Amino acid sequence: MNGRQLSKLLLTSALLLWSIGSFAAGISYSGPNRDAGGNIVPTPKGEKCVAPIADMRANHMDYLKHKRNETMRQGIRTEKNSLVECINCHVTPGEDGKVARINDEKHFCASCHRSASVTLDCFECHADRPVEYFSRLPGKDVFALNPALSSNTPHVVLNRKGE
Amino acid sequence: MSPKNTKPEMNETNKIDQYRRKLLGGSAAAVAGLTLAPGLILNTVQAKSADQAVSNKNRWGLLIDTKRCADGCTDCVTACNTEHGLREIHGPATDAQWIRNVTLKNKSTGHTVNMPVMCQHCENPPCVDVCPTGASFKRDDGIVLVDKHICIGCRYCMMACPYKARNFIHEVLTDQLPVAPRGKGTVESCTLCVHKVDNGDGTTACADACKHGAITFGDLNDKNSLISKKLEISGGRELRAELGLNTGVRYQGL
Repeated sequence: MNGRQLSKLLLTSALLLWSIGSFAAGISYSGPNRDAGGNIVPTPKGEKCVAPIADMRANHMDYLKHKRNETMRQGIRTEKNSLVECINCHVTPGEDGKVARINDEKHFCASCHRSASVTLDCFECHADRPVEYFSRLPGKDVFALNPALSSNTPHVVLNRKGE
Repeated sequence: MSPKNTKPEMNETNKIDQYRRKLLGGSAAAVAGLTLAPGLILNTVQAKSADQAVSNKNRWGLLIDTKRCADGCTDCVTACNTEHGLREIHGPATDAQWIRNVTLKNKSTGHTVNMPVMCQHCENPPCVDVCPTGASFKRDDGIVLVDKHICIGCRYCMMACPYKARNFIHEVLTDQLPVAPRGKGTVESCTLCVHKVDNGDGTTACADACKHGAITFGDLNDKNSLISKKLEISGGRELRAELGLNTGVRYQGL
Protein backbone atom coordinates (compact mmCIF):
# COMPACT_ATOMS: atom_id res chain seq x y z
CA MET A 1 0.00 0.00 0.00
CA ASN A 2 1.55 3.30 -1.02
CA GLY A 3 1.08 6.65 0.69
CA ARG A 4 -1.67 7.76 -1.70
CA GLN A 5 -3.76 4.64 -1.05
CA LEU A 6 -3.25 4.99 2.69
CA SER A 7 -4.48 8.59 2.77
CA LYS A 8 -7.53 7.58 0.68
CA LEU A 9 -8.34 4.81 3.16
CA LEU A 10 -7.97 7.17 6.12
CA LEU A 11 -10.23 9.72 4.50
CA THR A 12 -12.91 7.11 3.79
CA SER A 13 -12.77 5.83 7.37
CA ALA A 14 -13.08 9.35 8.75
CA LEU A 15 -16.09 10.07 6.55
CA LEU A 16 -17.72 6.80 7.62
CA LEU A 17 -17.19 7.53 11.33
CA TRP A 18 -18.54 11.04 10.94
CA SER A 19 -21.70 9.79 9.23
CA ILE A 20 -22.29 7.13 11.92
CA GLY A 21 -21.81 9.75 14.65
CA SER A 22 -24.31 12.16 13.14
CA PHE A 23 -26.83 9.34 12.59
CA ALA A 24 -26.56 8.32 16.26
CA ALA A 25 -27.14 11.93 17.32
CA GLY A 26 -30.25 12.02 15.12
CA ILE A 27 -32.04 9.19 16.93
CA SER A 28 -32.04 10.68 20.42
CA TYR A 29 -35.43 10.49 22.19
CA SER A 30 -37.68 13.24 20.95
CA GLY A 31 -41.23 12.27 22.02
CA PRO A 32 -44.31 12.65 19.85
CA ASN A 33 -44.30 14.85 16.76
CA ARG A 34 -44.44 18.51 17.67
CA ASP A 35 -44.85 21.71 15.71
CA ALA A 36 -42.62 24.77 16.13
CA GLY A 37 -44.72 25.90 19.11
CA GLY A 38 -44.16 22.58 20.90
CA ASN A 39 -47.74 21.33 20.44
CA ILE A 40 -48.29 17.67 19.66
CA VAL A 41 -49.33 17.08 16.04
CA PRO A 42 -51.77 15.78 14.96
CA THR A 43 -53.69 17.44 17.78
CA PRO A 44 -55.43 15.06 20.21
CA LYS A 45 -59.20 15.37 20.35
CA GLY A 46 -59.57 15.86 24.07
CA GLU A 47 -58.42 18.74 26.24
CA LYS A 48 -56.22 16.72 28.56
CA CYS A 49 -55.11 13.15 29.09
CA VAL A 50 -56.44 10.81 31.80
CA ALA A 51 -53.27 11.40 33.85
CA PRO A 52 -50.48 14.00 33.90
CA ILE A 53 -48.15 13.74 30.90
CA ALA A 54 -45.09 12.68 32.95
CA ASP A 55 -47.15 9.91 34.58
CA MET A 56 -48.51 8.72 31.25
CA ARG A 57 -45.04 8.70 29.69
CA ALA A 58 -43.65 6.55 32.47
CA ASN A 59 -46.59 4.30 33.25
CA HIS A 60 -49.01 4.09 30.32
CA MET A 61 -47.98 0.51 29.56
CA ASP A 62 -48.87 -0.60 33.08
CA TYR A 63 -52.20 1.20 32.97
CA LEU A 64 -53.00 -0.42 29.64
CA LYS A 65 -52.08 -3.87 30.91
CA HIS A 66 -54.14 -3.50 34.07
CA LYS A 67 -57.09 -2.27 32.07
CA ARG A 68 -56.80 -5.02 29.47
CA ASN A 69 -57.06 -7.73 32.13
CA GLU A 70 -60.09 -6.07 33.70
CA THR A 71 -61.80 -5.70 30.36
CA MET A 72 -61.09 -9.17 29.08
CA ARG A 73 -61.57 -11.21 32.23
CA GLN A 74 -64.26 -9.19 33.99
CA GLY A 75 -65.98 -7.35 31.18
CA ILE A 76 -65.25 -3.93 32.70
CA ARG A 77 -65.43 -1.60 29.73
CA THR A 78 -64.91 1.86 31.13
CA GLU A 79 -63.24 4.41 28.89
CA LYS A 80 -60.31 5.34 31.14
CA ASN A 81 -57.03 3.64 30.14
CA SER A 82 -58.73 1.71 27.35
CA LEU A 83 -56.48 1.28 24.31
CA VAL A 84 -59.42 1.98 22.00
CA GLU A 85 -60.04 5.31 23.73
CA CYS A 86 -56.32 6.23 23.58
CA ILE A 87 -56.47 5.71 19.84
CA ASN A 88 -59.81 7.50 19.49
CA CYS A 89 -58.35 10.61 21.09
CA HIS A 90 -54.71 10.63 19.98
CA VAL A 91 -54.89 9.32 16.42
CA THR A 92 -56.51 12.11 14.47
CA PRO A 93 -56.19 13.31 10.87
CA GLY A 94 -52.99 15.20 10.11
CA GLU A 95 -52.60 18.26 7.88
CA ASP A 96 -53.16 16.10 4.80
CA GLY A 97 -56.52 14.98 6.22
CA LYS A 98 -55.38 11.37 6.52
CA VAL A 99 -55.06 9.27 9.63
CA ALA A 100 -51.56 7.86 10.02
CA ARG A 101 -51.14 4.10 10.32
CA ILE A 102 -48.86 2.47 12.87
CA ASN A 103 -46.06 1.95 10.34
CA ASP A 104 -46.01 5.69 9.69
CA GLU A 105 -43.89 7.77 12.07
CA LYS A 106 -46.67 10.36 12.24
CA HIS A 107 -48.82 7.89 14.17
CA PHE A 108 -48.97 9.04 17.80
CA CYS A 109 -47.76 5.72 19.28
CA ALA A 110 -45.16 5.14 16.59
CA SER A 111 -43.70 8.65 16.85
CA CYS A 112 -42.43 8.02 20.39
CA HIS A 113 -41.70 4.34 20.16
CA ARG A 114 -39.56 4.79 17.10
CA SER A 115 -37.29 7.30 18.74
CA ALA A 116 -37.24 5.30 21.99
CA SER A 117 -36.44 2.10 20.04
CA VAL A 118 -39.38 0.23 21.51
CA THR A 119 -40.83 -2.61 19.49
CA LEU A 120 -44.54 -2.23 19.76
CA ASP A 121 -46.76 -5.22 19.06
CA CYS A 122 -50.16 -3.97 20.26
CA PHE A 123 -51.14 -3.21 16.71
CA GLU A 124 -50.37 -6.59 15.24
CA CYS A 125 -53.80 -7.42 16.66
CA HIS A 126 -55.44 -4.16 17.75
CA ALA A 127 -56.83 -1.48 15.48
CA ASP A 128 -54.44 1.44 15.02
CA ARG A 129 -57.17 3.86 13.95
CA PRO A 130 -60.16 5.36 15.78
CA VAL A 131 -63.46 3.51 15.83
CA GLU A 132 -65.11 6.12 13.60
CA TYR A 133 -62.86 5.12 10.68
CA PHE A 134 -64.33 1.67 10.52
CA SER A 135 -67.58 2.26 8.75
CA ARG A 136 -69.40 -0.76 7.50
CA LEU A 137 -70.58 -0.67 3.94
CA PRO A 138 -73.62 -2.67 2.87
CA GLY A 139 -73.42 -5.68 0.62
CA LYS A 140 -70.60 -8.12 0.17
CA ASP A 141 -67.83 -5.59 0.31
CA VAL A 142 -68.30 -5.44 4.02
CA PHE A 143 -64.71 -4.80 4.95
CA ALA A 144 -64.03 -1.90 2.65
CA LEU A 145 -63.07 0.87 4.99
CA ASN A 146 -64.35 4.32 4.30
CA PRO A 147 -62.18 5.22 1.27
CA ALA A 148 -62.30 8.93 1.95
CA LEU A 149 -60.70 8.44 5.35
CA SER A 150 -58.50 5.38 5.10
CA SER A 151 -54.96 5.92 3.91
CA ASN A 152 -54.13 3.04 1.62
CA THR A 153 -56.07 -0.01 2.72
CA PRO A 154 -56.60 -2.62 0.01
CA HIS A 155 -60.20 -3.69 -0.39
CA VAL A 156 -60.88 -7.21 0.73
CA VAL A 157 -64.05 -8.72 -0.57
CA LEU A 158 -65.77 -11.33 1.51
CA ASN A 159 -66.86 -14.35 -0.41
CA ARG A 160 -67.20 -17.41 1.71
CA LYS A 161 -69.85 -19.87 0.71
CA GLY A 162 -70.50 -22.69 3.11
CA GLU A 163 -67.58 -25.01 3.37
CA MET B 1 -65.10 -27.30 66.10
CA SER B 2 -67.34 -27.58 69.17
CA PRO B 3 -71.14 -27.74 68.78
CA LYS B 4 -71.39 -24.45 70.66
CA ASN B 5 -69.63 -22.65 67.87
CA THR B 6 -71.72 -24.22 65.14
CA LYS B 7 -75.05 -22.72 66.11
CA PRO B 8 -74.26 -19.03 65.79
CA GLU B 9 -72.58 -19.69 62.45
CA MET B 10 -75.68 -21.34 61.09
CA ASN B 11 -77.74 -18.39 62.27
CA GLU B 12 -75.36 -16.13 60.47
CA THR B 13 -75.70 -18.19 57.28
CA ASN B 14 -79.47 -18.11 57.55
CA LYS B 15 -79.38 -14.36 57.88
CA ILE B 16 -77.25 -14.05 54.79
CA ASP B 17 -79.57 -16.35 52.88
CA GLN B 18 -82.56 -14.31 53.95
CA TYR B 19 -80.81 -11.17 52.88
CA ARG B 20 -79.96 -12.70 49.51
CA ARG B 21 -83.52 -13.85 48.94
CA LYS B 22 -84.79 -10.40 49.76
CA LEU B 23 -82.29 -8.73 47.51
CA LEU B 24 -82.84 -11.07 44.57
CA GLY B 25 -86.61 -11.00 45.02
CA GLY B 26 -86.60 -7.22 45.13
CA SER B 27 -84.47 -6.74 42.03
CA ALA B 28 -86.40 -9.35 40.06
CA ALA B 29 -89.62 -7.46 40.72
CA ALA B 30 -88.03 -4.23 39.56
CA VAL B 31 -87.08 -5.59 36.14
CA ALA B 32 -89.28 -4.19 33.42
CA GLY B 33 -91.32 -6.85 31.71
CA LEU B 34 -92.76 -7.11 28.22
CA THR B 35 -95.84 -9.21 27.67
CA LEU B 36 -95.87 -10.95 24.30
CA ALA B 37 -98.69 -13.34 24.87
CA PRO B 38 -100.81 -14.28 27.89
CA GLY B 39 -98.56 -16.11 30.29
CA LEU B 40 -95.39 -15.32 28.35
CA ILE B 41 -93.57 -12.37 29.82
CA LEU B 42 -90.21 -11.43 28.42
CA ASN B 43 -87.77 -9.59 30.56
CA THR B 44 -85.50 -7.25 28.73
CA VAL B 45 -81.79 -7.99 29.18
CA GLN B 46 -80.57 -5.83 32.00
CA ALA B 47 -77.54 -3.84 30.94
CA LYS B 48 -74.77 -3.82 33.49
CA SER B 49 -72.96 -0.55 33.93
CA ALA B 50 -69.56 -0.33 32.23
CA ASP B 51 -67.62 -0.39 35.52
CA GLN B 52 -69.41 -3.47 36.83
CA ALA B 53 -67.68 -6.85 36.58
CA VAL B 54 -69.60 -9.72 35.03
CA SER B 55 -71.06 -12.22 37.47
CA ASN B 56 -72.42 -15.72 37.52
CA LYS B 57 -75.91 -14.33 37.97
CA ASN B 58 -76.04 -14.50 34.17
CA ARG B 59 -75.27 -17.44 31.95
CA TRP B 60 -75.33 -16.36 28.34
CA GLY B 61 -76.28 -18.85 25.69
CA LEU B 62 -77.84 -19.48 22.30
CA LEU B 63 -80.75 -21.63 21.24
CA ILE B 64 -80.71 -22.82 17.65
CA ASP B 65 -83.85 -24.14 16.00
CA THR B 66 -82.53 -26.38 13.23
CA LYS B 67 -86.02 -26.69 11.71
CA ARG B 68 -85.94 -23.00 10.90
CA CYS B 69 -82.33 -23.03 9.68
CA ALA B 70 -82.64 -22.76 5.90
CA ASP B 71 -80.64 -24.85 3.46
CA GLY B 72 -77.94 -22.79 1.72
CA CYS B 73 -78.39 -19.73 3.92
CA THR B 74 -75.14 -18.29 5.30
CA ASP B 75 -76.49 -15.07 6.83
CA CYS B 76 -75.25 -15.85 10.35
CA VAL B 77 -71.78 -16.72 9.10
CA THR B 78 -71.57 -13.54 7.02
CA ALA B 79 -72.84 -11.40 9.88
CA CYS B 80 -70.29 -12.95 12.24
CA ASN B 81 -67.48 -12.36 9.75
CA THR B 82 -68.58 -8.75 9.27
CA GLU B 83 -68.91 -8.11 12.98
CA HIS B 84 -65.44 -9.43 13.79
CA GLY B 85 -63.55 -8.64 10.59
CA LEU B 86 -62.92 -12.24 9.51
CA ARG B 87 -61.77 -12.29 5.90
CA GLU B 88 -60.95 -14.82 3.26
CA ILE B 89 -57.21 -15.40 3.11
CA HIS B 90 -56.31 -18.83 1.79
CA GLY B 91 -59.71 -20.47 1.64
CA PRO B 92 -61.81 -22.58 4.01
CA ALA B 93 -59.05 -25.09 4.82
CA THR B 94 -57.09 -22.60 6.91
CA ASP B 95 -59.26 -19.49 7.26
CA ALA B 96 -60.81 -18.69 10.61
CA GLN B 97 -64.44 -19.76 10.89
CA TRP B 98 -66.17 -18.79 14.08
CA ILE B 99 -69.43 -20.31 12.82
CA ARG B 100 -69.46 -23.39 10.60
CA ASN B 101 -72.50 -24.31 8.58
CA VAL B 102 -72.90 -28.00 9.21
CA THR B 103 -75.30 -30.26 7.32
CA LEU B 104 -76.09 -33.63 8.86
CA LYS B 105 -77.58 -36.34 6.70
CA ASN B 106 -79.19 -39.49 7.99
CA LYS B 107 -77.91 -42.09 5.55
CA SER B 108 -80.83 -44.47 5.98
CA THR B 109 -83.65 -41.95 5.62
CA GLY B 110 -81.88 -39.22 3.65
CA HIS B 111 -83.19 -36.63 6.09
CA THR B 112 -80.87 -33.61 6.34
CA VAL B 113 -80.48 -31.05 9.09
CA ASN B 114 -78.69 -27.71 8.72
CA MET B 115 -77.22 -25.94 11.65
CA PRO B 116 -74.61 -23.38 12.59
CA VAL B 117 -71.97 -24.76 14.95
CA MET B 118 -69.84 -22.34 16.91
CA CYS B 119 -68.08 -22.38 20.28
CA GLN B 120 -70.61 -24.04 22.58
CA HIS B 121 -69.49 -22.03 25.63
CA CYS B 122 -69.35 -25.08 27.89
CA GLU B 123 -69.74 -24.84 31.61
CA ASN B 124 -66.87 -27.34 31.88
CA PRO B 125 -64.79 -26.38 28.85
CA PRO B 126 -62.11 -28.92 27.80
CA CYS B 127 -60.18 -26.10 26.10
CA VAL B 128 -59.72 -24.39 29.47
CA ASP B 129 -58.67 -27.68 31.11
CA VAL B 130 -55.85 -28.30 28.67
CA CYS B 131 -54.52 -24.77 28.21
CA PRO B 132 -50.95 -24.68 29.58
CA THR B 133 -50.79 -20.90 30.03
CA GLY B 134 -54.24 -19.98 31.28
CA ALA B 135 -55.01 -18.14 28.06
CA SER B 136 -58.18 -20.17 27.51
CA PHE B 137 -60.62 -19.10 30.16
CA LYS B 138 -64.29 -18.88 31.07
CA ARG B 139 -65.79 -15.63 32.27
CA ASP B 140 -68.09 -15.67 35.26
CA ASP B 141 -71.07 -15.22 32.95
CA GLY B 142 -70.21 -18.41 31.04
CA ILE B 143 -68.53 -16.92 27.96
CA VAL B 144 -65.42 -18.89 26.96
CA LEU B 145 -62.63 -16.71 25.55
CA VAL B 146 -58.95 -16.75 24.63
CA ASP B 147 -56.56 -14.27 26.23
CA LYS B 148 -54.44 -13.73 23.14
CA HIS B 149 -51.86 -11.79 25.13
CA ILE B 150 -50.74 -15.01 26.81
CA CYS B 151 -51.78 -17.56 24.15
CA ILE B 152 -48.63 -19.26 22.86
CA GLY B 153 -50.38 -20.88 19.90
CA CYS B 154 -49.80 -24.47 21.03
CA ARG B 155 -53.26 -25.49 19.78
CA TYR B 156 -53.96 -28.00 22.58
CA CYS B 157 -57.39 -26.39 22.91
CA MET B 158 -58.13 -27.08 19.26
CA MET B 159 -57.40 -30.75 19.84
CA ALA B 160 -59.46 -30.83 23.03
CA CYS B 161 -62.58 -29.12 21.65
CA PRO B 162 -65.16 -31.75 20.61
CA TYR B 163 -66.91 -29.19 18.37
CA LYS B 164 -63.89 -28.07 16.28
CA ALA B 165 -64.82 -24.57 17.32
CA ARG B 166 -61.35 -23.11 17.60
CA ASN B 167 -59.21 -21.62 14.83
CA PHE B 168 -55.52 -20.91 14.59
CA ILE B 169 -54.37 -17.78 12.81
CA HIS B 170 -51.53 -18.64 10.44
CA GLU B 171 -51.05 -15.34 8.67
CA VAL B 172 -50.15 -11.79 9.62
CA LEU B 173 -53.45 -9.93 9.77
CA THR B 174 -54.09 -6.29 9.04
CA ASP B 175 -57.03 -3.94 9.50
CA GLN B 176 -58.58 -5.75 12.42
CA LEU B 177 -61.67 -4.12 13.86
CA PRO B 178 -61.53 -2.31 17.22
CA VAL B 179 -64.05 -4.73 18.78
CA ALA B 180 -62.19 -7.86 17.71
CA PRO B 181 -58.40 -7.82 18.12
CA ARG B 182 -56.97 -10.84 16.28
CA GLY B 183 -53.45 -11.82 15.33
CA LYS B 184 -51.01 -14.33 13.99
CA GLY B 185 -49.94 -17.24 16.18
CA THR B 186 -52.97 -17.23 18.46
CA VAL B 187 -56.11 -19.32 18.70
CA GLU B 188 -59.56 -17.80 18.52
CA SER B 189 -63.23 -18.74 18.40
CA CYS B 190 -66.74 -17.37 18.80
CA THR B 191 -66.80 -14.81 21.62
CA LEU B 192 -70.61 -14.83 21.86
CA CYS B 193 -70.24 -11.20 20.72
CA VAL B 194 -68.85 -10.37 24.13
CA HIS B 195 -68.50 -6.68 23.22
CA LYS B 196 -72.22 -6.53 22.45
CA VAL B 197 -73.12 -8.49 25.58
CA ASP B 198 -71.07 -6.12 27.76
CA ASN B 199 -72.68 -3.20 25.98
CA GLY B 200 -76.10 -4.54 26.97
CA ASP B 201 -77.21 -5.03 23.35
CA GLY B 202 -78.94 -8.26 24.34
CA THR B 203 -78.19 -9.95 21.05
CA THR B 204 -75.36 -11.34 18.95
CA ALA B 205 -74.50 -10.62 15.32
CA CYS B 206 -75.69 -14.09 14.23
CA ALA B 207 -78.98 -13.92 16.15
CA ASP B 208 -79.57 -10.44 14.76
CA ALA B 209 -78.88 -11.51 11.18
CA CYS B 210 -80.98 -14.69 11.10
CA LYS B 211 -84.10 -13.73 9.17
CA HIS B 212 -85.61 -17.17 9.81
CA GLY B 213 -85.58 -16.63 13.57
CA ALA B 214 -83.53 -19.77 14.09
CA ILE B 215 -81.10 -18.26 16.61
CA THR B 216 -82.11 -16.94 20.02
CA PHE B 217 -79.64 -15.29 22.36
CA GLY B 218 -80.34 -14.89 26.04
CA ASP B 219 -79.69 -15.54 29.69
CA LEU B 220 -80.09 -19.19 30.62
CA ASN B 221 -80.13 -18.30 34.31
CA ASP B 222 -83.09 -15.97 33.91
CA LYS B 223 -86.16 -18.16 33.98
CA ASN B 224 -88.21 -15.42 32.33
CA SER B 225 -85.91 -14.79 29.38
CA LEU B 226 -87.11 -15.77 25.91
CA ILE B 227 -84.43 -18.43 25.58
CA SER B 228 -85.38 -20.03 28.91
CA LYS B 229 -89.08 -19.93 28.00
CA LYS B 230 -88.39 -21.54 24.64
CA LEU B 231 -86.27 -24.20 26.29
CA GLU B 232 -88.99 -24.80 28.87
CA ILE B 233 -91.76 -25.09 26.30
CA SER B 234 -90.06 -26.89 23.39
CA GLY B 235 -86.83 -28.25 24.88
CA GLY B 236 -83.40 -28.18 23.38
CA ARG B 237 -80.46 -30.51 23.53
CA GLU B 238 -76.71 -30.23 23.72
CA LEU B 239 -74.43 -31.52 21.02
CA ARG B 240 -72.43 -34.44 22.44
CA ALA B 241 -74.45 -34.26 25.66
CA GLU B 242 -72.78 -37.47 26.82
CA LEU B 243 -69.58 -35.51 27.46
CA GLY B 244 -71.29 -33.68 30.32
CA LEU B 245 -69.95 -30.28 29.31
CA ASN B 246 -73.24 -28.44 29.93
CA THR B 247 -72.99 -26.26 26.85
CA GLY B 248 -74.40 -22.77 26.64
CA VAL B 249 -75.53 -23.39 23.05
CA ARG B 250 -78.55 -25.65 22.66
CA TYR B 251 -80.22 -27.15 19.58
CA GLN B 252 -83.82 -27.95 18.73
CA GLY B 253 -85.03 -30.32 16.02
CA LEU B 254 -82.14 -32.77 16.05
